[in-house]
Amino acid sequence: MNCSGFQKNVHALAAERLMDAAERANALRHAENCSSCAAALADARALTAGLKSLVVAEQEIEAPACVENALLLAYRKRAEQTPAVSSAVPLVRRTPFRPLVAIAAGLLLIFGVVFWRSIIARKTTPTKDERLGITTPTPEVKPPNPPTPVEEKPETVIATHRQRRTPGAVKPARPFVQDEITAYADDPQIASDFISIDEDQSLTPMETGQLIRVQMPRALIARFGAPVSAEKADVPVTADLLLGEDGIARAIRFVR
Amino acid sequence: MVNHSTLSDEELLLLMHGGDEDAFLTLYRRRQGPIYRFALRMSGVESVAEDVTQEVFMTLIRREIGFDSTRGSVAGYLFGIARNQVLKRFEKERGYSSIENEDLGEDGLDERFVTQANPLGDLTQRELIESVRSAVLSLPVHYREVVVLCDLNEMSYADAAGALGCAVGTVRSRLHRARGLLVERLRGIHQSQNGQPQNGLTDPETCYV
Repeated sequence: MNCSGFQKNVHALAAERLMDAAERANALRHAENCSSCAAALADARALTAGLKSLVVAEQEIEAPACVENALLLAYRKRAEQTPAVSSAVPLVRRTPFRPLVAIAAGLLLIFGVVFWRSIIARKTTPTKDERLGITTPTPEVKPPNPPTPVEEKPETVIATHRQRRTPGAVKPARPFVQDEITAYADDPQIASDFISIDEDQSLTPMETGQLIRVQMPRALIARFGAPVSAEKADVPVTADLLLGEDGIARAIRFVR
Repeated sequence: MVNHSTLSDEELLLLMHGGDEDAFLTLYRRRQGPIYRFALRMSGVESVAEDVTQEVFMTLIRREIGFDSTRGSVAGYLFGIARNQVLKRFEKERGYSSIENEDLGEDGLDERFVTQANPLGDLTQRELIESVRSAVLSLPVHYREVVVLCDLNEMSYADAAGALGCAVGTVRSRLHRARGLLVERLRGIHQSQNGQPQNGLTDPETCYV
């Protein structure tokens, strides 16, 4: 080992930080034969001793009690304002939007009834899905289990449901506006974008799922903020429902 | 009844966000000392250290920045927040600037510093501690923080790299350079305390590069 190599390691040697055993032995042997490097090692050891003395002298120093008191107050205030989140929830997720959980459960029950009473039209429209931001994941799709018994076997479409969320913001229930119908005027089938109804944070994240077409009472779309005219209240509306692997609805879009 | 003192920092963090006050207090009491000492060693001012410590844990309470366990430990995460808070205050107040490298000569050594003598010899313990403290505070910020994290807070290179947002190799090289500067500054402090003449380097072969 030469002086240059020794100088690169002098502080690690003095601080007794992890070094390769052979390298350490070489360095010490060099210091025995080189006075300037030996002096450098002595300086580095003196510095290490000084730093350790400082650590020992300051080890009892802590923040004053007033800091803890202020933080405890802030924590309690925050806890009052924010409902507790399940400890199984990842730290970056937010509080569940509980009212929509109840709506989602009600919708699922209604959809089950509608399946038995309606004729379901099945189409797959991957290009429309791409326009609407729904992507088909790779690798190959696994055949999912149908969530409820049906007269006709639904055609399975696997989609990835992406929830765009601003970190730190609570996503409000997305309003359904009339303009969105005209936004998809080019597509004769699709009348709206997917509206998320999956606000329950305890639901498992969706990797695969099913897209099923259903018919439902028109009055239900009012829950999403869509206007419903009195003369058409009895006319059923067609919708695509996005179900997760667990069979629970994640999102809905309306179809002409 | 959960014994919080046996739980890891990550477990305490999860419980704390779930509304467990005891988990928050346990985590605070476990980590506030190193955070406070880090801020104190960086700024040299107790009020700044108090503010920084409080702000670090307020950030935790408000969940302003999410903790990602794949990127490092909770301790490293807290030190990263503390470091940013300290740097913000430096920017704002500009009252804690240290001696910059411009004060050093062409060879990287201050021409005022002299002799081969042990820079910390002949000092009493109290003087020694004060000397080291002053020398650390006089370092440029990016050297000071690696010394404070690795040598004074005894963090590993990996945790320090996580807190500073740089590579482990960067931490090593900065620490090497920082310790070289400390040796030279302690020599200067020693010389000025002993009142010896300052004639320049006596051993041109001494090399800290």
